[in-house]
Amino acid sequence: MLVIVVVFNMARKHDFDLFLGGKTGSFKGISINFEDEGTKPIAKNIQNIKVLTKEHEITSLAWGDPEEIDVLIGMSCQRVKIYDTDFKAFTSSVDATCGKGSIKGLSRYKEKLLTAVASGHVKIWSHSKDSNSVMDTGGPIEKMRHSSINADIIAVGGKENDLKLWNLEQNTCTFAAKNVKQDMLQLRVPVWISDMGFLRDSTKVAVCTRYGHVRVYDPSTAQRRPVINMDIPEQSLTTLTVTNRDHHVVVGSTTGKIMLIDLRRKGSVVQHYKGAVGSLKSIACHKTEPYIVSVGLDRHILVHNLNSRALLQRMYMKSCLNCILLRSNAFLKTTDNVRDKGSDDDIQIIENDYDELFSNMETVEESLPKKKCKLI
Amino acid sequence: MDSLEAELIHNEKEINLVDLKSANQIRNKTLRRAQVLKDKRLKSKLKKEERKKKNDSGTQKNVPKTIDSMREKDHTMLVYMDEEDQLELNLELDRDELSSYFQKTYEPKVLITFSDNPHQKCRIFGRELTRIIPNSVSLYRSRSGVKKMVQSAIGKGFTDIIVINEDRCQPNGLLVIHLPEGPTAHFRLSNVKLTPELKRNYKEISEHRPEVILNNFNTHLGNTVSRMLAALFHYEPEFKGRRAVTFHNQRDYIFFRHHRYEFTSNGKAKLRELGPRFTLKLRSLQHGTFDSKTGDYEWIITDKRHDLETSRRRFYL
Repeated sequence: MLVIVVVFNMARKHDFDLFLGGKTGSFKGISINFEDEGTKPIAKNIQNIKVLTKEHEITSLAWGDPEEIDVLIGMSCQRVKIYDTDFKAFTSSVDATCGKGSIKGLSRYKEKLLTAVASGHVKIWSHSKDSNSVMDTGGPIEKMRHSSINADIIAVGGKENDLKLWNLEQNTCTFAAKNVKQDMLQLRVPVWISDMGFLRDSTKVAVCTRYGHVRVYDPSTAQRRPVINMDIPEQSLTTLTVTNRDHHVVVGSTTGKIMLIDLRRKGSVVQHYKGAVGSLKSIACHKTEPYIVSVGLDRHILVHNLNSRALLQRMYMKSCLNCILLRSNAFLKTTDNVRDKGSDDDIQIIENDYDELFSNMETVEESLPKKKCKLI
Repeated sequence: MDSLEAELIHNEKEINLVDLKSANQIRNKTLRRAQVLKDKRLKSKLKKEERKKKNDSGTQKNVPKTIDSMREKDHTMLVYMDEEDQLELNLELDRDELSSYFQKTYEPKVLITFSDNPHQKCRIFGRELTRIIPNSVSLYRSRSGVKKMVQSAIGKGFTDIIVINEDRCQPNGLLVIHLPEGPTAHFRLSNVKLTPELKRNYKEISEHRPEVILNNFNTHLGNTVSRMLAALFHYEPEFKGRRAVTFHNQRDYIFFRHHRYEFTSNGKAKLRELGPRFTLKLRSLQHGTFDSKTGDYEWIITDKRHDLETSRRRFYL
């Protein structure tokens, strides 16, 4: 019994570092070990790819809880699937029909599911049917992000629909950005927000646009125009992510450029990360370690070192990838870590759900060889 | 002098090797020349014998080392795939924008157009393409934008657009847009030889639908490109016409040739090139219809050639 418990613990700690959602609807788990160079990175299709149709395209991924056990998978057919990383199974599939278009943002708000679709409708799904609330954020959206500091706040934006912050509690728009001033030819600057992110430990929001701008808005002040407006010429930016450093964000473009941007003063491009040949769809930054992971239409996953710019890992994933979900403890696989987390809770789980343990035997076997290395 | 020559000949016979330098010591030009020629002949004869001996002994022939055969390993190659990869690839091929052509749900209808104010060579090239691609028309662009053209072409039931770009009176770019949802491929076009330049006549080209041969597209990207090129032609060739168009990929250059073939009575094939001929090189592949500023590129080479072209033996198609 004791042996099994240990294995189970290890299996959980040696779960995939990150998850990917593909254009074909494939849902993949990736495990990379940077400390031990002998082990090869593992990539596995979690979703059975035989059953997929065109409507299964995964457009959004998010964690369903702060412990990072449930993965929420948003699909273009407006369905949300939930994958349990503990039991390594899809636990439920929710129909999230509301508005039009594919799911552009997903989150968990007060134990309820929060979805945003391309037509601009944001809905909170609860079990009782009457209390479902739909918010029309006004205009098409390209992305919805949920603030990690204040859980009531979400940010939306899209084509000809500038950044808006909504308060979920009060159901009101708390901040609506104003377009920048006309350019030197007295022409209106077009708006096409492609991604946004809440800067760490501040109320500020950074956005990137398809027309090659990186802007920072400060909703705490009265100013509705951006406090920093930076132009990246000839690039169409698709994705933005905040790093573990306060003033830095990473953006990716349609022509395969990954850039680190410093948002102090006027803003400047600090570094370029090489290796991508196609449009980037999603970039994720590790919370503590200097790793950035990026995926895109070139079917590769790239892992760079944030500081040294070195390309640490490049893997071919066979299908075009849309989104990425990184564990906060990804790539950290020291033995201490494993011992720390092995607690009595897990033993209890096993005793309670004996059947589930056996149904999970296969995955445990797979991760065994790696575990042996770790134990010694 | 005679004694020297005799000595030389004697030496040759003895060691069965030709010393070409020894002839240099003969000071009479005529004799020296004769000796050199003789030596050369002897040398080639020896070489021939040696080769014959080697062939007869049945040892394996050496494969020449070309940059093509020493190509760097690419993970996206579509060979030696395991079952799951194969399944995933097939799944994607069944679903993508080009799949409806391969399911034979429609007949391709191609619009061929030019940059504004095309010069003579470009116009003739466009007209020659209409003879190769069945069910295609060549129209002047009359200053319409590509995005506008895409919209009106979709309305008129076209399935593909080819835009020929030119520079200094020479065609230099080819943009292939698959309608209605893309993808879009941009090729650099070079070495365009029109039918008259190959000393052929357009009257030799029959109206029959040609067979399409796509050679050597090995990677995932190459597969997409070859599917795009295939989708320009009707899926049912008329074999009666004995016409074949070939897109042959070699070192990322796609060579186009147009032939009429004939099988002779002794079972061999004879080819007659009909023209035109040209070479393509992929610059970018973009999802969706043409949108060079904000479109999503699946693969692009612009302004990062140094990253992509790190090795002479690295190929992408």
